[in-house]
Amino acid sequence: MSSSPGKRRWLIYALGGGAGHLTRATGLARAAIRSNAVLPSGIEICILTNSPFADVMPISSELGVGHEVIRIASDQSRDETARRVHEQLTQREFDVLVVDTFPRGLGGELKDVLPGLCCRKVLIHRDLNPDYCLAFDLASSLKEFDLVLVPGESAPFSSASQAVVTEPWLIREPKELLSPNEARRKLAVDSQTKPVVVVMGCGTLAEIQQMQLLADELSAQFESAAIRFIAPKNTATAQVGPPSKARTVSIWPFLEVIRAVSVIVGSGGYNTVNEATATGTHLIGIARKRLYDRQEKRLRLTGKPAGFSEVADRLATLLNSGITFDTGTPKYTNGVHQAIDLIASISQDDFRCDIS
Amino acid sequence: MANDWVAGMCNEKSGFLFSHECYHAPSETCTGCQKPICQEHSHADGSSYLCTSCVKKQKSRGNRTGRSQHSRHDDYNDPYFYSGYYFGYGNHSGFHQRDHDPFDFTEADGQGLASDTGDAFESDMSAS
Repeated sequence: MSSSPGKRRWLIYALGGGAGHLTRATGLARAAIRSNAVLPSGIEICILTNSPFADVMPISSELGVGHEVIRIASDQSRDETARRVHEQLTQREFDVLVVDTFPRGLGGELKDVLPGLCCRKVLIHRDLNPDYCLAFDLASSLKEFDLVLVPGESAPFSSASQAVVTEPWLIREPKELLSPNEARRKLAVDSQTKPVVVVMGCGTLAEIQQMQLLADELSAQFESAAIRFIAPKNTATAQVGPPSKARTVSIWPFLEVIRAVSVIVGSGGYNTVNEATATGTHLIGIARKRLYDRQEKRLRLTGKPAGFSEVADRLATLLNSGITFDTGTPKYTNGVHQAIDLIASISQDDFRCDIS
Repeated sequence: MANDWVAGMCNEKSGFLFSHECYHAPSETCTGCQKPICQEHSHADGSSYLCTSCVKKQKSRGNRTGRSQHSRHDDYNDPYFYSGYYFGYGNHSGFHQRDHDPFDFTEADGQGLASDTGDAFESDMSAS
């Protein structure tokens, strides 16, 4: 990435499976790029990802010209991934390194490289498995960071001296959400009155296939609702084989169409839960097993997690309860703005690198 | 029994949540019960295929005898058998109870699995 004078340069480390890390990183980057008041000389952003969905998510168009997305293939070995990460961190120039979730890196590859980097370092710190924190002494790794941002959920080190808790980070502002009618069009729903139920295909490929089967069966069972299966392009029907009975729509970011949606059937991932909570959308959340964060815990804070066998009953209850449709533009505070203010405040021109 | 099967369509009725007809075209014949089965309901068993019902029966028998007869079908990635860590939690109404596979993962299994994940930290680059 060629650098322009005066511009701040942020490198966002967003490695991790699924689409969650990349979505959160994109939300931060997008808002920073538009934040002329906080970053008057402009900003250049580079996002580093190994998400298997990076190729089908239109990140570059979200960021616009002058920014960059470095994609590391998701099937690379740990060593090869670490080599690529080291290469990017040591050969690029940047003022701020923002690390999403993993203070030591997804494969522990940041541990040795962070102390030698002459830049401000920011950690996005959310829920983490306590066993992982203990086994890898993450408390020590946290000391490498100038700022620890906790994006709206409890996290093991949220009381650290350099930690600041913000509201949850979302990829769209309330005013950017499509109106219910526009969103229905995008979701290919002709009816203006049918409740729209969205089954989210996210996580691993196996989980996406599973959610597609769920969407198919809900579609057959609930004819009074428009069931839509949301999945990244090329990951759904092509994997399962037979064509899906539920209409499959590839929309990212999903938040954009949420005002048309009455019920989300999804997992307990950070973005799904926070998008539903912020907009007051009903979520039937299935807690998936994850290595690092705890979806069950996240879902318990917002309601009772669902088992697969409960989904139909819960959906029937919601649909029979005279579920309300969109009542206006949601009001929520997007935590990315506070995060950008905080990052900007620690990355002023007077920063001097004290690495000897 | 084989004569009872309807030709030209998948005869498997196992669903993800509900039992229901499957109208997909058959691509295999189940070596367990000889019913025509579609690609979605076919589960590789060595060089042949079993239907979802036969795999579930074998898993059930294996569990009762304390031996897994077809461990190859305990595939974490198969949507019909991998049901996530949270599968089975909570109260189940009648028909759900009937269709619920008692040998799928339960919450307790999930906790057991969780304790085995220590070695995976920082080695699984597809994790999140």
